[in-house]
Amino acid sequence: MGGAAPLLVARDLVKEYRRAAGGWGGRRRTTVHAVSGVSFAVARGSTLAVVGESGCGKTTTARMVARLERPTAGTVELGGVDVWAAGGDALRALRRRVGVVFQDPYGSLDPRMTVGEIVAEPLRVQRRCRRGGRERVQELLTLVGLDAEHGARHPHEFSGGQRQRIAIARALACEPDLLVLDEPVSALDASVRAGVLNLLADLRDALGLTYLFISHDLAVVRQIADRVAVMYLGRIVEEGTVDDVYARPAHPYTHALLSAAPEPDPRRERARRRVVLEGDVPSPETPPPGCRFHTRCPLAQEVCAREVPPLHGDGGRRVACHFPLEPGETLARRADALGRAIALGGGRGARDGGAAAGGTVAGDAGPGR
Amino acid sequence: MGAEPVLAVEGLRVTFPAPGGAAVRAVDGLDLAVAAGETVGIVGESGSGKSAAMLAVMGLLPGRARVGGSVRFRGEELLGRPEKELRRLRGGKLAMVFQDPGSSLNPVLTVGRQIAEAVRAHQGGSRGDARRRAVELLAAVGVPSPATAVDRHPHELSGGMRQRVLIATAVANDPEVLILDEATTALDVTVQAQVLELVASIQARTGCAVLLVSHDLGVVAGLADRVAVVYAGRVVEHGPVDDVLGAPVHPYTRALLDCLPRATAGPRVRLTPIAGQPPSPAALPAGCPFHPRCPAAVTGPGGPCDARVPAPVAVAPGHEAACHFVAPASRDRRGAGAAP
Repeated sequence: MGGAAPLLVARDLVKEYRRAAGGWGGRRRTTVHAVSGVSFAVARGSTLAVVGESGCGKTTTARMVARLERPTAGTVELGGVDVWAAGGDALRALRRRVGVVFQDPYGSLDPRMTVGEIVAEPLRVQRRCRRGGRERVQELLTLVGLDAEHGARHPHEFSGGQRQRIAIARALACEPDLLVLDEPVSALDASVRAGVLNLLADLRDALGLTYLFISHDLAVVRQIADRVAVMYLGRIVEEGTVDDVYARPAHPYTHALLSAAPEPDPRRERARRRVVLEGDVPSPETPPPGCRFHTRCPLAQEVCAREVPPLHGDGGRRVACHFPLEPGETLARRADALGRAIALGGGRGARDGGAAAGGTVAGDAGPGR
Repeated sequence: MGAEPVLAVEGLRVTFPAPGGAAVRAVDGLDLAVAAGETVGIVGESGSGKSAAMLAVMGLLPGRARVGGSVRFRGEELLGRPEKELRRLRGGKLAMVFQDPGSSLNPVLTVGRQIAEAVRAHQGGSRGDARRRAVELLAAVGVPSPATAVDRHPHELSGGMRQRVLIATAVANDPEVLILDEATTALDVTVQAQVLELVASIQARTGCAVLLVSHDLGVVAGLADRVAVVYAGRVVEHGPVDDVLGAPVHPYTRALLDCLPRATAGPRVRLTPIAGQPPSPAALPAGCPFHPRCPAAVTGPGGPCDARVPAPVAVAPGHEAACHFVAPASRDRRGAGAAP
């Protein structure tokens, strides 16, 4: 993480939701383990992406950082200040330093407010109108690539991409240090998404912003982030620089996730041997003991069901696995060495060739078991 | 493709009346053909008309929609056929899986009932037989413990399992054409990989034709034999997947590939967004629908792009693009081609 103190530090964040089970008025209570001990640090001016599939806890983590969801345990520090312990003036100052952009640009902008009112609202709430309300709004709209005169219009007059720009302008209104971006480009079409990703990169470089970027899209993460934390069922399984993690995934889940990300290159796609994970992600109400991935891991040993693998390593690269892959080693080769069958797929090549070792591709019962 | 297409769509038009007398042209002269055992990918951004075209093929558009052109299944025209005949085809020889597994299933019926309903509607038979067939189908699409899963309600299953149930329903009557409309879009990537494998294995077994509608070029790259790129309700480029995605000639296809970030391959470079927005189907631009966003457009006096709609030009065997500035195929243009 370098010499300088990181801007954002999360320590052992835990979020559990208690809820009634067994129908209406049921007495039985269950606990949803949404986030179970997540720690990370983000250096000033850099971008940490948190990537994972639905229900892995990435959004809950972002909401705890943005002070939208109180952690069950653990701390969040911004510039050395404990976000959840702060109150009064310290809290007001903290709120100014964090901006949030949500996924859905249709749901996150009040349709009855003008764009100018939307962008000015944080300024008003923070009582910073003295920085020339109207002028500041125009400046912000220009900053995100919109017309300064658009402030008088309403959100419905804008496309999804433009609305997301409005949401970014609002997040930047109080000159924050940190932007928490929760799937900010997921609802956008490809041609529009590229422009918003470029804008986010430009703003970060021009304003020295720090991003916590939540995404399910590995390609988007590779485009925007310096570092990536891969989450599975409430825990970080691997963290490191994007280049390092993508080139040499050490955790079997990271490997499977990367191998499942489709690329628009047909020759590559056909040549590729994709690891098809069996089954579904277990419920966060009853996470498996030990390593939470062991129920689907092609490499799992007996110890994996018993002991939680710690997130090992220094700031450069951390992995939570009892048997991490060596650099350059593939999941398929390791599984082979263990004498385990692994479902491999690919595009047409795999089907036409039909001979993916141990694959269930050309089988007649589908990949399920 | 040399083989006779199972499904051939020609000049398909779908318009919706809009207030004020104007018409929303959702599909504006779309051509498409798919042969048995073949997978054709249909890619395009939201609002390009790809879903409306598929609904038109299935005869599922609301009554106010006006549909023109031709949709032939095994040489027989489907447009204008009585609803009763269409109903026999739908879910039988022509089947479709939709994007949202949450809303495509009836929440108050067990998944077994819903699959059995599809079986009995087309094959008749007793409830018991249909139920046994439902269990078989659930097993075939990789649902674990199918004998118990058959009695579950949709909310008890994950998104991936629900999508498998929908696929089981779609393939219950051995369709000859299977349309997947963004069928894996709502799924996580690892589950998407499972479902795409399932589709590939079903096709390998039954030899059905697959129309794979997706906004995700990666999904199409992995599964399709041929690709059609749809923009503003028409196909702007189509051909073998290696040609269209590997050596695109239409400016829109190129632009679409240039604005995609890559997960694993190639260097990280700044993305090139496409200027402007996709056109509204209520106000399509004159001439080539892509010209307002096209970096190569020549407009104004003498420029063809805002004056005439470009006709498809063959640039290689089976590879066509509708652009005024695409040169027709010459003999030596490509060596080792991607002839299917």
